[in-house]
Amino acid sequence: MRKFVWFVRFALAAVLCLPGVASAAEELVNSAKYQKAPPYVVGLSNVSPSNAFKVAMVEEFKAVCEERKDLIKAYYITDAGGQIAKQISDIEDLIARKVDILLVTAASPTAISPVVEKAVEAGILVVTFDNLVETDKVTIRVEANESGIGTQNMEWLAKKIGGKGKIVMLGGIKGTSSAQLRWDGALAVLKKYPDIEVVGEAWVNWAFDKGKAAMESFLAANPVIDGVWTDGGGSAQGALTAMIEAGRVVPIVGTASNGFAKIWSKLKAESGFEAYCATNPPYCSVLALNFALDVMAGKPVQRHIRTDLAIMDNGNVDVLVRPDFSDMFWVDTLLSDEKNKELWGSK
Amino acid sequence: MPPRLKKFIRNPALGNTVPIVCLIGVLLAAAGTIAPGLLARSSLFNLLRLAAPLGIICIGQTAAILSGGVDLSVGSVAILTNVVAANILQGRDANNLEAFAVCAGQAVLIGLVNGLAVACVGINPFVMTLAMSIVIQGAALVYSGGAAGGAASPLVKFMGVGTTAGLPTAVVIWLVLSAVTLFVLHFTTPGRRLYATGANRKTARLSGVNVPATLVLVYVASALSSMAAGFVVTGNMGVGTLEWGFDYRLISMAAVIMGGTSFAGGQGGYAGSFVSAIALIVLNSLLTIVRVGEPVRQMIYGGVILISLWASTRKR
Repeated sequence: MRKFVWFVRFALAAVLCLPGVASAAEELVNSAKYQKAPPYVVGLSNVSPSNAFKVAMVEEFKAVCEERKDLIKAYYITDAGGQIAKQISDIEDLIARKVDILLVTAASPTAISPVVEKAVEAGILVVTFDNLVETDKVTIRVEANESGIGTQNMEWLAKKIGGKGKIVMLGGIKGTSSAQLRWDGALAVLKKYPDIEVVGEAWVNWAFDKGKAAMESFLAANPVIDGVWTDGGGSAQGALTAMIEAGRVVPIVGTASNGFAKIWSKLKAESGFEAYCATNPPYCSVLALNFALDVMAGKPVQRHIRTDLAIMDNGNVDVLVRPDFSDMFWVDTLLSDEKNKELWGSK
Repeated sequence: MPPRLKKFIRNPALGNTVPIVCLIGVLLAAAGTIAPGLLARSSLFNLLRLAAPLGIICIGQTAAILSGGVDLSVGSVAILTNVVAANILQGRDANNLEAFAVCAGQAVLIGLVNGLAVACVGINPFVMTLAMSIVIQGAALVYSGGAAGGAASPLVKFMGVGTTAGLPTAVVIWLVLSAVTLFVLHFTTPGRRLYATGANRKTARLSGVNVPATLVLVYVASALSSMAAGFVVTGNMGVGTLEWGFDYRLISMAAVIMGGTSFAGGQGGYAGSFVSAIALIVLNSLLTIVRVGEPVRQMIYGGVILISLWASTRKR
């Protein structure tokens, strides 16, 4: 029965084009070094549960650890509260607890490298994912296709508006690597479309309030806007709300938050509105864990892995949206419905 | 210039109101040249609606700075209000009373702790309210489990995005609260006590002002105004979220000081903060249009504080 549940869940995820795997480098992990009979002890060192994506990421990980007791005898999750010093001591702590597998999403790409290297030297299989640690010593590096969010969203938007017109771009947090990679990816696509003019650009921290405020300004300043590029769920939701209030709704791209999907699905039913999302799934923690378990089982695994993006478009938005859940829910999930209800349903 | 007009402009309670109104004129003229659409009625109303939560927060911030202190917990109180209110409301008007009561209760509690610590224990207001804001942020995280949810009720949405008598409701709320604030500051005994306390605590105490009570009242009023702003923002966003883009702590300080309220306390008033809130939002919109990024904006807000402080020191 349990196996069947797993099958159903993965089949559901396939609706969203379950992230496949593309290798960035050909080098393999030395599985012989880590191969060991189950069950294992697993640690997850998290930077901070400060946003909905991170909350979902941790819950996805927990759910798998709870279900696969045959493989995982104990798991520890630490939360660094965004502090580098706290994360260093967290990882020291996990080393002391003799974990077999350590997953790290880092508070800083460089500052926690030494302690991560120490974990590798202690014989622990270390996987960095989500917010990456920049050290060659790490066993597996699972990289989200950040620039792909920028390029795939922009490709869709450019085609949607017929390769010409005026667009607005709303970026994430200026200065973070993921926001910059997405932005640069979008700009690279724009080079192919000389007839598309960017009439407004702003960095809105992926936040609803700033996305809405910026979009209100752009709508007021520009009599014509043909499309909106964003790289976030909150920013897309804010911009779309501003467009609805101004009575000027145009195609928009973002990432797969439930708040965005709710408005989108409603508008689609009313007026055939179209939008698009390329999204990095919150179960990146589960993907990272699975690669590590494969190594433990002696299977060949690449050292550098880049996961594919999940897509939400007019074809599947109505299936994925959850009108009964909070706006902060990430529509792309492997969690059970009960667990999601507990997390995102009305309390 | 007729002496009466001169006297009016120099009225210390007005602070920098007159120059800032001129500045708003200049900013709007610039905006109109770059993008004429910005001067449309709907767009100006949008700007005012966006300025409303900032202006409401500035009520408390003005009082705190007038008293010789500062309140760095304003932004976190607004966020906590948003997270708690949206969760209680769940989109239903039936829950309005409970949401208002709980949020007002927590605001009063926060204000009391801030005020008592500053007035009776003698903790520096900077340190006290900064620590308080960190505690509140943590509380909002714990309360929501990092995943805020819920939705604004129709009434709260009306506060955020509705219109009343042709004006955005948020602006009407702001105007009413501003009128009350100006009245309390300039025509009532607590208002005069606040100015006296800010100007010189010793002389205030010797003239019979209950300084600790005045300070406690200031921080409670500040928390309550942040709560009111939290409701307006909740109505505007429609949902509860920890992911706020605007840093009201910094912008509210910038607005109050730019408005001419002296950081030393006892000098200035709310009129200056009121127009500064509008000026900063117009400036923000203009910077968005001409593509000035967030880091540069932070520098501009910081610069506004520094220049205003410098100007006010020179005046003395």
